[in-house]
Amino acid sequence: MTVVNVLCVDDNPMIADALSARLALEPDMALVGSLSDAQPLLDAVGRVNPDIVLLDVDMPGRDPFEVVEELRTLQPLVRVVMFSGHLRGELIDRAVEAGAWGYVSKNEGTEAIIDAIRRAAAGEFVMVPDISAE
Amino acid sequence: MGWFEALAEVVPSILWTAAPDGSVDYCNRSGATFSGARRAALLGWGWQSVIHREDRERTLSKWRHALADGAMEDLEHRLRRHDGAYRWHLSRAVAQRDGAGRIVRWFGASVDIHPRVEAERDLDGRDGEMSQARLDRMAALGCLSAGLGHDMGNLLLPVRVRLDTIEARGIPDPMRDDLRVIRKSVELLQRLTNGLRLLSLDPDQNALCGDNLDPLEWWADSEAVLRNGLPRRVELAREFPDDPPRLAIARHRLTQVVFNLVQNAGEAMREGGAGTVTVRLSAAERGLARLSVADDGPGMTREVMRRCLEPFFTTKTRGISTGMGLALVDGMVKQSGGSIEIQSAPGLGTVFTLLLRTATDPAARQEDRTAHVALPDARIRTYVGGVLRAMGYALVDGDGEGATLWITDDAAAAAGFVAEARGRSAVVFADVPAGPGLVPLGPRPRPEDIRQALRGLGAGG
Repeated sequence: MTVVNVLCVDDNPMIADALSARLALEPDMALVGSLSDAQPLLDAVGRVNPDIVLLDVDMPGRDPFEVVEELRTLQPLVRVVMFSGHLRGELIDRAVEAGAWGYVSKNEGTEAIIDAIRRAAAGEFVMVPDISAE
Repeated sequence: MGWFEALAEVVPSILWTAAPDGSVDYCNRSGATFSGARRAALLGWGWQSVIHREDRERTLSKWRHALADGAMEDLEHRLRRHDGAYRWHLSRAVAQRDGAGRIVRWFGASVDIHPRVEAERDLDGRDGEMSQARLDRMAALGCLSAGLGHDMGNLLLPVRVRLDTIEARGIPDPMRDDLRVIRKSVELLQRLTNGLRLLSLDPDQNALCGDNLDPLEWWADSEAVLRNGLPRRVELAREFPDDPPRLAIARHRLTQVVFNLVQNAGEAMREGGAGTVTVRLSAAERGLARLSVADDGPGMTREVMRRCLEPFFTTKTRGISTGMGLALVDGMVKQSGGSIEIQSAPGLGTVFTLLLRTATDPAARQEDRTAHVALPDARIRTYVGGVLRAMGYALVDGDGEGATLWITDDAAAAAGFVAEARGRSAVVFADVPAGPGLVPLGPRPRPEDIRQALRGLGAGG
C-alpha cells in the first residue's frame, strides 16, 4: 500500500498534533512533519519528502501563496492543499492560480480533511462543496 | 372677522382650516410670515409648495388618508421658511363634524419643532456624520464577529480531530456518554462559530454559494447566533416545509438580514418580556419563496410601520441596538432581487416577510446540462469539473459523447463540436476568435474568468 506522507503547516501547533494522532489511524497516511510558519517550508519539504502539504492560509510571516508558487516550481511533485477558516472567493482564486491542489475549510470535519488529502494525492483538485458552488 | 380668525391671527404658530375635500380655505398670518408667501398662494392646495420635496409625497398621502378616515395622525415634516431654510414642523388636524357626523371643516396647526428634532437627530445618529459613525461601528462589529469566528474555528479544529481520534480508537462503554456530551457541546460551539463568520460584513465581494442556499443547512449554522439576538425569555421557533426550496441569496446576507429582523423583534418584545419569534419559510411559488420573521410583541403603529425601513429611523433608545437598521436589511434584500412586506398593528405583533428568489435545483438541471472537460492539466481539469458539478452539470468522460458543453484547449475540436449541432457551447483555453457558442478565454485563464464564463453559459442554458 502506498502511504501518503503529509506535512502540516499551521501556526496553531495543536492542529498538527491532533492531525498526527488521527492520521496515524489511517493505514495509508502519515504525518511526517509539522511547521508553525511557512518560512522553512522549502527546506522541510526537501528533508521529509511529503506528498501533500497541508498549508494554513492565514499565518504570520511569509505569504503562503508565494510559497505555493515556489513549491510548484522547485518541487513540482509535492501537492499543496490550503486549509483555512477564511472562505473568501479571492483567496480561493489565488490558491488555484498559485498552483494549490485544493482549498479546504477548517470548519469541515476531520473526515473532510482526510478525504481532501486522499483525493489531492490521487490527482484531483479538491474544494469543500460550498466553495465550488460559488 | 369672527372670533376664530381674530384669535388665529395673534397665535405665533401656523393655523389653518380646510374644507371637507382637503383644500385649505384659511391660513393665519404666521403661515404667510413664516413662508414669505402671499396668503392666497397657500390656499387650496398651494400649501404643498412650501413642503420639503422629500416630505411632500408623505404629507399628501397622510392628508388623503386623513380625509378618508376622518382623523389625522401627527405628522412631522419640513416647511420652507421665507429665507429658503427648512424647519421641522409638527402638523396636526382635527375634523369638525355636524350633527349627522359629517365633516364640515378641518382645523389644523403646524408647530415649529426644529430644535427638538435636531436634538433627537444628534442623539439617534440620523445625520450624516453620525450615520457614518454608526456604519463604522457596524463594520467593526462585522470584522470582530468574523475574526472571533475564525479564531474559534482554529481552536475547535484540534478538539474535534482529537474527539474523532478517541472515537476511532475505540472507547470503553462508561466513557461513551461523557464523550457524547462533549461532542455535542463542541458541535454547538462549531455552529456558533460558523454563525459568527456569517455575520461578517463583506457579502458583496466575498459571498460564496450565492445562488443555491439550502435553508436547513443555513439554519443549522445560524440558529445559535439568531438566538443570541433575543432576550432570554423570548423563544426562537422555526417553521420550514419538509423540503424547503433552495434560495438565491448568499448565506452571509441572509444571516445578516434575518439576524437584524430577529434582533429587532426581540427588542420590540423586551418590554413585554416573554414571547416567541418565529422564522417561517413557505414553499416556492413562481420562483419566489416567502421567508418571514414574526413576533407576538406589541406591534407597530401605522406611522412607525410606514417609516421603519427609512435609513436610521428608530424608536429605540440609543445604545440598545447594535443592529444595522432595517434600511440596510431592505437594501440587502433588494440587492438579492427580493423585497420586504410588513404586517403589523398595535397589540397584534409584527411580521416582516422577505420575498426571495429561489434557486434552480442543481439535481433537476442535470439532465440537460452535461459537460465534457478535456484539459491536459489534471489540477485545472478537476478544478473546472468541480465548479461545473456545483453548477449542476453532469460530467461526461471519455470522448465527450452526449455533452452539450465542452471545456477544452483544442480550438479546432471546439469549433467542430459547436458547428456539429445546435445548442452546443464550448469554452476554449486558447486565443481564438469568439463565435456563436464559442467562448475563448486564452491559454491560461484566471479562475475568476473561468467561473464567469461558465456562469454566463449557465444563465443562457
